[in-house]
Amino acid sequence: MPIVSAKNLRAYYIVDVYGFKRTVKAVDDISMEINENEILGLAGESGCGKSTLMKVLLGLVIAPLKVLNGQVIYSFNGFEKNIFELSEKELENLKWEVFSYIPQGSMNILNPTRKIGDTFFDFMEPHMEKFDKKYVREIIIQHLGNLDLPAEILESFPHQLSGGMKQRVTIALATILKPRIIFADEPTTALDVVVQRDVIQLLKNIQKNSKNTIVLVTHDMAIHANLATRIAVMYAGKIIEIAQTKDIFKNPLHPYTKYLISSLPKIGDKTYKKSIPGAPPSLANPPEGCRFHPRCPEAKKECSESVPELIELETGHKVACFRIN
Amino acid sequence: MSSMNGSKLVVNGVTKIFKMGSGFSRINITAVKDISLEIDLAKGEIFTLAGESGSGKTTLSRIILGIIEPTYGKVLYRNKNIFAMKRNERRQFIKEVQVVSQNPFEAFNPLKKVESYLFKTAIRFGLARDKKGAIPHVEKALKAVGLSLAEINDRYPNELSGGQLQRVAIARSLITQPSMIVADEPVSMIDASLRMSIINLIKQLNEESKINFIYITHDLATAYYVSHKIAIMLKGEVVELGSIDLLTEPLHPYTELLRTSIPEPDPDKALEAIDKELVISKRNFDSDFACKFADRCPSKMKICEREEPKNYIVNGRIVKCHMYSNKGIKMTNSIQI
Repeated sequence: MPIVSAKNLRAYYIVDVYGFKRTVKAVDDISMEINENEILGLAGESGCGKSTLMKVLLGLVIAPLKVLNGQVIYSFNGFEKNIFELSEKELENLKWEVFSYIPQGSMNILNPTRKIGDTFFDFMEPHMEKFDKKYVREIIIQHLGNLDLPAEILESFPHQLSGGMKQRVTIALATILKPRIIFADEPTTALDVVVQRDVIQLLKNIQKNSKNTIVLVTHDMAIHANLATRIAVMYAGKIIEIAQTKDIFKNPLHPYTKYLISSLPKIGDKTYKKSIPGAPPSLANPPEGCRFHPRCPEAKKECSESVPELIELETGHKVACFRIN
Repeated sequence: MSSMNGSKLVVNGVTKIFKMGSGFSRINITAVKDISLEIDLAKGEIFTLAGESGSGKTTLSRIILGIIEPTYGKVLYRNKNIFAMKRNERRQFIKEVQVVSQNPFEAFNPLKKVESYLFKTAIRFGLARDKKGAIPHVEKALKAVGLSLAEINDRYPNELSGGQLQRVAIARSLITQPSMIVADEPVSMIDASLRMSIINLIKQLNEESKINFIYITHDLATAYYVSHKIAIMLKGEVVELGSIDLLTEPLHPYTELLRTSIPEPDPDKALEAIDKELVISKRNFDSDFACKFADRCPSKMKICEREEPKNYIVNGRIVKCHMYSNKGIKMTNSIQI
């Protein structure tokens, strides 16, 4: 039973300035399911719509982003509702307790004039029935201990912490209310490799210990290989392939995924890495048919005419390509 | 130019200290400390400067480009100190040593058409008198990066993709037929699917036209793919320098830590859990210990706290670590490799 299922999601950025209308089709007809107890990786290059998809899944739809079609159904413990039909109050209740969000560049969201401890209190207060500072402090310290963070950081200001430490603090904030799903947008980007390795480990441990779900957005395939259990590959606003991590890396089916995997450089491997020809399309004006066909070496006539659907080939391995059927 | 001879770029004992703040809160930051390296321009090499953010790799590249003057030490280009050059020598130096910057969207003025940079470069360096005369030079440079003038003519930077813009930036640097290009994180802002095309372009320009590159990056996987030599930097110092193959069997414990921390794009090779001691570094730039890695080093010895390690030559590399005081040859002259 999936905890979140998206059906025929269509979310566009619609900008209308002085009669000049521009539509960016960032999420175009996406259906997917997020299961309990998994780390789902959303892969794709910058501008392919992966961050937008994550925001829509969270119900974080702020103009100019607009959901034109589709639903996102959250189901757990008998609760089953479309996130777009929830009242503001209901949505507030879901936030942080059912799902939490680690936005991109989140290490810079901490209020520079407040101590980390105060940020934790501010964060916890609306979620507690009776706010007892001493009791809440104990919860926080215990939680930090679980994540191997020293309790002293509660007395620090953000500028006194390193980038990696701040990132760990935001992860601690996002997980303190034990959410069922954690949405993490590029949680390791802009960190040095050694710190990145530690943050990867931290996310892995959180998932292992609380058996919840992590949805991970990153463009870095190596991070996906290390963390994700299942990967959805996005290209120009669509999911083109979704499968277990092993299948994506060892047996990619879509030509784009094939290129993506084979072009990854590795230490100890000096063989020539071919790059993908052409450039990704603009989402304001995507090509007709399969959006990859102008760059695809195996494109046929029908690829430029109609859009291939995401079809399940083997159990759990779905791909949207006319060549493979 | 008669006064510029020889075929080497020599960085000799370069140190840069930035003075920050004023009055009582004045602090000195040693961004780059006693760095020596040598590039033989006749060979046509790609030399990588690698390190984490704040390790001083960009400062070092700016010193090599002559933008920042070092506090101590000097940089010799074809036997000439680049900070004591005459006007015409300096011009020749700029002509031969070009730069490609990190973010192509910031490198180009959004209000100017991209081809104007190519024409201006050709005219300024005296390759052509006017725009018409510059066309062959511009076409040739664009052809080398897989573009043509027709493709970019009359276009503004926002009309081109990051990959195309970075190609134009590389084409601009090629117009003067440089002997060396300093490329500071040239692919970190480029889309994943286009990244390898830029890296392959650098490789191709190096192989076909024997252009030397200084490739500055934190991405050791692309560094391994493209370069011949590498210097690993830590807090302003070079801790290991040698052939790129040092990445497969590192000698310095810091290189080893970096090597084992890089996630591999292979689900069968998951990263091992990391020891907390290795992650948390002291925040201040000047570590309390004499060796900059001593606060995190798993093989730390007593001597590492008090005495700065010397450079030792081990297996044809330079390693700055006390562990090799018996195994390696202590360097007397700082430049040998």
